[in-house]
Amino acid sequence: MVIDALSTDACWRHLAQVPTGRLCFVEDGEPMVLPFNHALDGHSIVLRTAAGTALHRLASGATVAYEADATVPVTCEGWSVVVRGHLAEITDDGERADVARLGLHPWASGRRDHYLRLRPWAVTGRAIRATAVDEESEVVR
Amino acid sequence: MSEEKHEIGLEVLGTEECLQLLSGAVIGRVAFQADGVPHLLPVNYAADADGTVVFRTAEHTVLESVGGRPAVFEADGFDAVNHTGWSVCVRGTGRELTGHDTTARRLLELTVISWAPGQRDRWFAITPDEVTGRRIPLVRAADFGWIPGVVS
Repeated sequence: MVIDALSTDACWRHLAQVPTGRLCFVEDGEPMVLPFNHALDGHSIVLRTAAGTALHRLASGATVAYEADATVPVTCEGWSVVVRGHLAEITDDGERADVARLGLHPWASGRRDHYLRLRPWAVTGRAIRATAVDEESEVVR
Repeated sequence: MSEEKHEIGLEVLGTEECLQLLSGAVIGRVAFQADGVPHLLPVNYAADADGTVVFRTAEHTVLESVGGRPAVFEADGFDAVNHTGWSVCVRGTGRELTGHDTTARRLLELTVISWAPGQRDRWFAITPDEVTGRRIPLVRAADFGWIPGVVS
């Protein structure tokens, strides 16, 4: 098995392949993790939440981490991308109309009509892949 | 948290079901705050019967900072076709397992197969103060009074 660091471009390509991820934020010194389905808008991540949630309260520039991954258990391969940045609610009408066109619909029922944007300041990713047979033999030699 | 509005539309899972889901997955994520920044790192793990999760890391990794800090371990499973899924969180404090007490020695017996290459000799655990889980209920078309193929 080898582990590769993903380029920023590769990170965004991977993020675009999956509909879900998890958001980590800190509230009262306690880490919180919530799963989300997301949409990408250029190099930012768009989420939806309801008014009055912990997340909505934090959506004024709080530092958060968003992680998405995909795995292939049979071969023990997979990738993970972590986006760190600031979370802010989208309040501008024009911007709201733009992100509404992304087709982001929460999977759970109930109104979640506040759009949040995660503007990244760091995007990192790693991929674990099985070593090709010829690479293994290189190592043996 | 129980009255939070992000709970709307979600089914609250009982502890037994959470533990069952935890025991059936192999990848989860460890969340904690270090240097004022939230971290969320995927790990291979094993779960003990009480929901204690055990994972390994190498020397000099970010993950070793979880020792002594409030931490959350999260595992989940999603079905992108049916827009359903579950998520279980183990909330507690991270600690390094050094084998100096019987609990640690027992946890060190758990098998944690790490997919990533390299030595991963530092063992950590999060023992739960709380185990919680949520599921997005499967919404079937029939629940809307509409059945595919039946024109009414």
